[in-house]
Amino acid sequence: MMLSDLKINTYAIILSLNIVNKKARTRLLEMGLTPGTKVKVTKVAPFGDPIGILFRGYELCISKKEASYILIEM
Amino acid sequence: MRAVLVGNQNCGKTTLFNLLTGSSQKIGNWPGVTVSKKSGVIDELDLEVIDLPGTYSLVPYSLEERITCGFLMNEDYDLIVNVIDVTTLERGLFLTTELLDLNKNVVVIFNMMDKLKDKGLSVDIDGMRKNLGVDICMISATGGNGILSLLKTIRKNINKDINKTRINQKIWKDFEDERKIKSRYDYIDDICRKNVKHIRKPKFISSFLDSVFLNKFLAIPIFLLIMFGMYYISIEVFGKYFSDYFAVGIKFLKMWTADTLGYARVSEWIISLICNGIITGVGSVLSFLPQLFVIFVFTSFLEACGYMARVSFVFDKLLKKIGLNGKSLIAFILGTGCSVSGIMATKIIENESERTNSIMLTPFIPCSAKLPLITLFVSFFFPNNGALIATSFYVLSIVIVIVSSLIMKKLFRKDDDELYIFELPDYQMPKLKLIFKDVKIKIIDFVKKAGTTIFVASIVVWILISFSLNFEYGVDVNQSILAFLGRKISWIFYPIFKVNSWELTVSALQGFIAKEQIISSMEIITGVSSEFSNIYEIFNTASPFGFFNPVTAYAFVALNLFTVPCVAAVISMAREFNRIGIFCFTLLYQFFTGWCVAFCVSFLGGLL
Repeated sequence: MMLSDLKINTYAIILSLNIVNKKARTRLLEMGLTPGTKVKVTKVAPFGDPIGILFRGYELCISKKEASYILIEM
Repeated sequence: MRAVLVGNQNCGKTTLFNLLTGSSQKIGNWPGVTVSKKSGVIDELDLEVIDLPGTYSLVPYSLEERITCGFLMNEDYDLIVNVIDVTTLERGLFLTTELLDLNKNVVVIFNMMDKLKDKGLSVDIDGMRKNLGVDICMISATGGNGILSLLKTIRKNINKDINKTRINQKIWKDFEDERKIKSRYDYIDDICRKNVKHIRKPKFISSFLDSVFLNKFLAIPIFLLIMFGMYYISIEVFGKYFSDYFAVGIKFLKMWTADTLGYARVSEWIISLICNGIITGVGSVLSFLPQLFVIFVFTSFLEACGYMARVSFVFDKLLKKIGLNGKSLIAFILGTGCSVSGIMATKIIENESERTNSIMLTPFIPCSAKLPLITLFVSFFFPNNGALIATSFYVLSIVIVIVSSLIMKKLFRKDDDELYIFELPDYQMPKLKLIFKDVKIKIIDFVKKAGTTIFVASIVVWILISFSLNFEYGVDVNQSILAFLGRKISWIFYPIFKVNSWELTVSALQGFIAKEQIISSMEIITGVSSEFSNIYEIFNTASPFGFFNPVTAYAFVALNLFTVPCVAAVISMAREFNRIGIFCFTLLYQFFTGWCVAFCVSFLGGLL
């Protein structure tokens, strides 16, 4: 299942970042979105994009597109 | 001796910097870019401190981060002071592990210790010190706690004899290696498991506030309400209120100066230079200050409390499509009151090209100084549908902004725009003392740089208006240098208005000083004064402006609305761009746009 499909306020675990853009992938890893990290979707912007995700004690906003490349499991 | 402050954005680094360096700090820009460079001195330690732009790692993804990484790599410094927001400890420690790999002197600061309780956490500092192998200070920058022990720790570490040789380039490859990144977090997970404990349930203030401010239905109305409040207080209350008192004060100052100097038998032209040139000019700068003060307070507060990030969250998707930022909206809304306020507000946009676009486009939004012009022409030439026509100018301005932004986006593509992630910090109640300190610095900055240039510009204009070509003083405006210049370049506007009118040209030129001056220029030229007669006499067929018809009237208003803004706004733009290339391009583009729109109006209107 992809992060973009995760319902609001449900927890999941990151399996892998399948983002093609190396810069984006590396930056997300540096921010702490590493495999094995617990994550939760907290909010969705009024226009549907971006989404807010909570992990490692803080909230990060990423575009729905990026989230659609992040593999997760419940 | 020199120390550098390094840390994530929003870690309170700047608050700490302000606290440590106080009034000694200098704000400039890093060479060639619009990023602020902050340096100062800690008097107690006789230590220079540089506040480097926030970064999440030593692999840079934005202009600001490139500056920080470049500095750490290539410049000389004696100590790295790594500030971490202890409530986002794990992420903050990532940068720390990279900094430690640089083999320089490092001191780690755990900031925002006061917030740990709300998060329900407790940290074993001694355990952390042992595991990381560096000195750690606990502080709360906003509360001013722990600063003394921080100074002691800095003093202790600054003289440590760690190798000061330049950094091995190979380290950079290491930082980009994904496996290495993951192993850093494994290490961080390990030491946090040992030293950080959940001792009680965390408070959920931020998520509650977000459920209101980011509610699907409430988000935009709340935003508009806040913007309206900011606009109303800054421009309607402070702006108008103070400007009335101010105008009276200036008048008195002029009269008093003229009387005193006249009594002292000073020559007439010197009196005029001082009163009509200098006092008027400087007064025009100072008249912006009350509005700017309120704008700075509001934007500083909204940014510090965390709301600005929410504005980005709501509007970014829409505005990034045209090369702008959610926060550009704030600048544009403020621009309806005064372009200077709008331009200043663009400081809050981090992305350089989005900020540049926003600065360039803010003047296209009609400011309040342009309103008298709109009102005068619309009420005379479109008496039956005045409101509709007036609104059409605002609609036109939005179209121009969107089209221009798309053009800029195509012309100035930058790689940085690809990556889209940003942090939503917790809401916090900012300390008013710190807000005012921040505002004070910005105001002094504005007065120093803008004040001096406007001062010079006013004197230049005064010379052009008061002297004839033979440098005879006290001539009729018809014979001034400005009129001469007007005649020379009135051909530029001929295709639009089908007349060679120096009077029109001079009035438009005066609009570059201040948009209100367009009408006063027309009044002076025709001898019609709004105090004594019907101002519509300006358009009497016998007067120099009698050639106007509804089409050319609309064109004239459009010409002045969508062209280069007043000198105060131009100077604000120059300051914010800090690069002469973009600045000149902007002026040319704005002039070209005003001309083109006016021409299209005149041409299309002529066909109807």
